[in-house]
Amino acid sequence: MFFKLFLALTLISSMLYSSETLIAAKIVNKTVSALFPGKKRLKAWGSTAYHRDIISKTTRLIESKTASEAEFYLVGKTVPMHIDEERVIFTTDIDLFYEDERVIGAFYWQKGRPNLIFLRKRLEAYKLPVSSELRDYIEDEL
Amino acid sequence: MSNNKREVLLLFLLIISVVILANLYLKIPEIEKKLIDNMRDDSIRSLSTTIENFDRHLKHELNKLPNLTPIEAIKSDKSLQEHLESELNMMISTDIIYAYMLYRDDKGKFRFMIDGATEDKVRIGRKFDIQDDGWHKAYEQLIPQLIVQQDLSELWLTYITPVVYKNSAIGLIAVDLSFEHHKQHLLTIAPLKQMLFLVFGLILTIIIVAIVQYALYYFSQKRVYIDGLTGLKNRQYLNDLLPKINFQKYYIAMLDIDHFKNINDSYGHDVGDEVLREIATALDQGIRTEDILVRYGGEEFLLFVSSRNVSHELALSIMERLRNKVEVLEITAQSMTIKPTISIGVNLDTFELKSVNEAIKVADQMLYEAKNNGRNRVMHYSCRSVPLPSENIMLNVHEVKEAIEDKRIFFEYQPIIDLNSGFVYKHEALVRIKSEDGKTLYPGHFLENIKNSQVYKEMTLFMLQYNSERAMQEQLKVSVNLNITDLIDDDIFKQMISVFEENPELTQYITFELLEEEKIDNIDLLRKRIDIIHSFGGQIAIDDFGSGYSNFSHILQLDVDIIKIDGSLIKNIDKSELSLQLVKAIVAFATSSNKTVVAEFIHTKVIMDIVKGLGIPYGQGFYLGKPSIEPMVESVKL
Repeated sequence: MFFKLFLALTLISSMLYSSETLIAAKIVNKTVSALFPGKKRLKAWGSTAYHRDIISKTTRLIESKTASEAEFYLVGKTVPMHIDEERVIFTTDIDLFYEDERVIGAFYWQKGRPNLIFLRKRLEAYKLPVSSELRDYIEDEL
Repeated sequence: MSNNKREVLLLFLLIISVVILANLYLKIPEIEKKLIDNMRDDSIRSLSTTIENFDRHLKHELNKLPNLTPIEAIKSDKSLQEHLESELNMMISTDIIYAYMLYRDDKGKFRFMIDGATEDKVRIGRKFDIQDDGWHKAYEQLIPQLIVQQDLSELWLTYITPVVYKNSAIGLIAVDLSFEHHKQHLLTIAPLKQMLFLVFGLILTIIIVAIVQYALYYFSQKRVYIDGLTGLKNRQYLNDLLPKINFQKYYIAMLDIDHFKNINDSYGHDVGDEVLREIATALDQGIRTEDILVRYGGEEFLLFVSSRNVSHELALSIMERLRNKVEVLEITAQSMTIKPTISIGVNLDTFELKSVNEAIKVADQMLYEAKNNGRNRVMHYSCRSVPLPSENIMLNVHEVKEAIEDKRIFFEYQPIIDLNSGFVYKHEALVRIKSEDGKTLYPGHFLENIKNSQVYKEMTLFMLQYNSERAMQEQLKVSVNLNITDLIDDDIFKQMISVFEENPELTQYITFELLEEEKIDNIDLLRKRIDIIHSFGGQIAIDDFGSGYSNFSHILQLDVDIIKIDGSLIKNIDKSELSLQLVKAIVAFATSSNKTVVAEFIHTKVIMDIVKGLGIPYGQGFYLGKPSIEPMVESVKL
């Protein structure tokens, strides 16, 4: 009985994890579609296994073999040193978004919910379109 | 209760059970939801008081700073912020994972005002994305909202309470209940749910077992009731059906395949079986669904035709059609074409009879008539054409037929003694039936009732065959009783002759004892057939001479070999001068015509001595030897 319960809970946990990754992939996909409307597929680079997993689950991103050829960077708490300033960086950590001006937006979990944030002037700096789809998530200032 | 009614009732009960069961099954999620809703409401109720206290305290503090907006007031007073945060923090437990207050900015975005979290506390003013309209609804309509989270792994419920200050909402207090809490609820009600599923499974199993049992019973019953060879209903079916139906609402017909024994003898039993199958199929296809056709035994079929809206004429035309259906059959077997025919006896006036067995017997009598009138025909009974069967019976046709099939017919042998030497001259075979309860039944219990029926013929044929075989095997001299008209019956006579043809030496063992009847229709044919028996060396005895319808002219015409003087004359010979004179006359007649005389009913020594004194050479009776299953071999001391 307890073994069955343990198995059930393990299964639920793994399903929840995959569910969170899928939600993240959906939102990243939506973000990429809105920011790069002219590109069907974008080469992306993920800084961790979690980020690469998200990339693999999107339809608009294709994982690049090297960081240098990527057009879109998905990172966590830090921006790796080798990433140029001109590259579009997107994070899953809200604190990094606040701290690093190179980061154009963030997808993060807040109070158990998915949240998305962009800063208008950063988008403009990268000449990325301010899509109506993202309007609710764009902040004028931090 | 009839089978049909019982099946309808069972079906009805089954449907009711399935409906109840389906309802129970569908109720399980509903019961589960109700239980969870109750648990949820309890959780919300326990929160309400804390939220109300927080609300009161907040407004109290805001009243102290009337010139500031609520967000300005909180931002301006660090200690107030901390105090309010700690109040929200008090709500947080294992069940409530987040408690916070939001405000809505002038662009309609929700932002954090106070966060009750101790770790990862969200800064004031940070944006909060919402996925449900309930937030705006609570803010605008000032009504608390409960949001059930669907896609969020961590959250189960969010309870939102608007904070109303000066008649408008200044923010929303939000409390998130964890999914872990919900899992506890699910675990709490799991045993109940399991129990409900168990009950459901149990009832379902019982229903399935009941259905399987009934199906097995139904199919086994079907097997019991179906004749394996023809596929028609069998005798067992008829036995079980008869008590349940009103036979008076049917016309009853007995159908018999003509010369079926010849088909079996000539072509073998496989072909015989094929003929039976083909005829059964033809008959079955020629009747209506409300009619009942059964294989009655051997090559006989019994048909019950519902008389509802069917006149006598129509019933007879149905019978004629059935007869014709068989007549046109051409059955090919062993490169030969067999064209079978059937004879049909019909009882159209069943309502006049008290029992179904009597009604069947009348149909059987009509079949007998059809056979005797050349076969391949339909003969029917009307209340004026045939006398009703006697009610003074013990065994009916049906029961005698069963006795034959069950091999409950047996014979006792009474010795006929040579009165000079005391040696056994021969034995008379006396037919008996062992009743189902083991009693021995005598001809008086059944013979009259099967007279002129097919069953009588079957019994006679059996008697001939059995005693012929026994006489051959044991070299037993035996007299076999026949009705005098049996010699006119083609089938019986053929059997008698075939016995002699197959075993010529049998003529020295077998004697046919004929019992006269009131009316002998075809005396010429009878005489010819006796001559044929004589030509084989067979002997004919006339039984019970001096009684009933016996007369000298018959004896003269028939040229019998042995005269058996009736017991009614012998038993009183010591007291009745008339009997004595009659016996003397019979003896004188027999002696002069060179016939052997046997005296029956010798039950005392006195009688025996008188009989001997009259010069009668052979005697039979209880004094000389009683009937027994094993023939007597010892001589008698005279």
